[in-house]
Amino acid sequence: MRHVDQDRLADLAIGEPAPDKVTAHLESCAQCAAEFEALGKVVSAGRELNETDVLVEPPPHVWEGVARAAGVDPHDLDRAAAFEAGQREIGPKSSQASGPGFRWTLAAAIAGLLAGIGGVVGWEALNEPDGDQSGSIVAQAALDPVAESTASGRAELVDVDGERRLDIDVADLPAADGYLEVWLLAPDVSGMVSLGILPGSTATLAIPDGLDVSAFPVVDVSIEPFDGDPVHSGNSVIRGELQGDQ
Amino acid sequence: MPETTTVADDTADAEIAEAFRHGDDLALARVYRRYASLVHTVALRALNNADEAAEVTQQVFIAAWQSRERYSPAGGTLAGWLMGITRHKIADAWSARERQRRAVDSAKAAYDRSETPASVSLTDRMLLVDELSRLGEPQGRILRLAFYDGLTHAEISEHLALPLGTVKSHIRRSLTHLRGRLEVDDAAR
Repeated sequence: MRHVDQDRLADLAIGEPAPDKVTAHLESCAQCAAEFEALGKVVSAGRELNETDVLVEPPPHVWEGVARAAGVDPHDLDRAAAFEAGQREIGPKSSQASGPGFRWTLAAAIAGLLAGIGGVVGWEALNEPDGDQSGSIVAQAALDPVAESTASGRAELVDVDGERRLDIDVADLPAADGYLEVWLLAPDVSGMVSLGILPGSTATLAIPDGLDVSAFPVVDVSIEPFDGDPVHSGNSVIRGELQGDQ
Repeated sequence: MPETTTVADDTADAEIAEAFRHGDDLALARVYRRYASLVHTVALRALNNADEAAEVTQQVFIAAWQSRERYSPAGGTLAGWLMGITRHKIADAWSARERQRRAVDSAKAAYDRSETPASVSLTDRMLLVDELSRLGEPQGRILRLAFYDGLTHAEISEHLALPLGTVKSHIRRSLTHLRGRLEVDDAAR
């Protein structure tokens, strides 16, 4: 028997409309009905919550008691925090140290590659970019190939009377199914902002007003499949960190 | 497109659980960092007493460490396993109170009611709070609007100025992820 897609069950569980055949199938299929019930349980649990439902940290003496009883050094707690911070820098398999925040699988997929960012060179070494020459360049990045790509390129952050834009210019991009999307990433890939698509080898993209580029200084170009999924594909072709006064 | 945020989270939690099981260096501290607030909050809500909640939290982690080899990832998440220990220690704390006072106040009755299968358990609700805080953004905001404020996908899309498709796909993924967490918790009971 063909079962109902998990996505449709999730829609229905949270009260969004789903096709009639989905509801009909649920009446005759115990497996899908059980899955639907489980999703419904998450939704009812969620709907019982409100803003006051926050976790409360135990007082410090609790850990001290645990460490004493277990025979471990109380300073392990600080070491664990440092260990996890280090893990995040190398490859964020574990990014709980800072509590709530961005947590991307993508981080695991591409963080290792970030270690390879080294392609920052002096702006003088680069050609003048194409496009509008007005405004002042406040930061720039040399873009280095990621993974098996052989692409190269550069990006510059330009400020025109307070309106910022990113000029990007690339060469030797691989042929790929899909389209190219330009992102600004946090250095630890804990967050990212999509700037738009790269239709050819150059693009001029507006930086959203109020975006703190220093928090997302890494320019990244990814190949995105036409799957309707707005999230980064994890398939980056070129990347570099903006250097300057962003 | 692979799974989003949640897989990294699963991997990280699974890695901590594995280190814990083997008694690795720093493993107890890492597990404590990851789950102490969850355990403490459940204890605090069940007992409504700061000293007892602190005591229960301490007991849970000591007991978990002593019996770490009994934890099996096949039986559920480490969070679910810790919740099981937490429930036992809370019950012990209630027994101690009863012995002392020979009286059960209404808070215990409320706690028992919340633990009946008909309603969503305290531990599941707090597990959900924990998971919601770790979803990343904008998933966290989207889910909070859907849950706390009961907004529809379209209303959330409008409220956050995000495309409807983005809202929809984040909710689908997040719900499926959260459902896995709570289901595994059930299996561990």
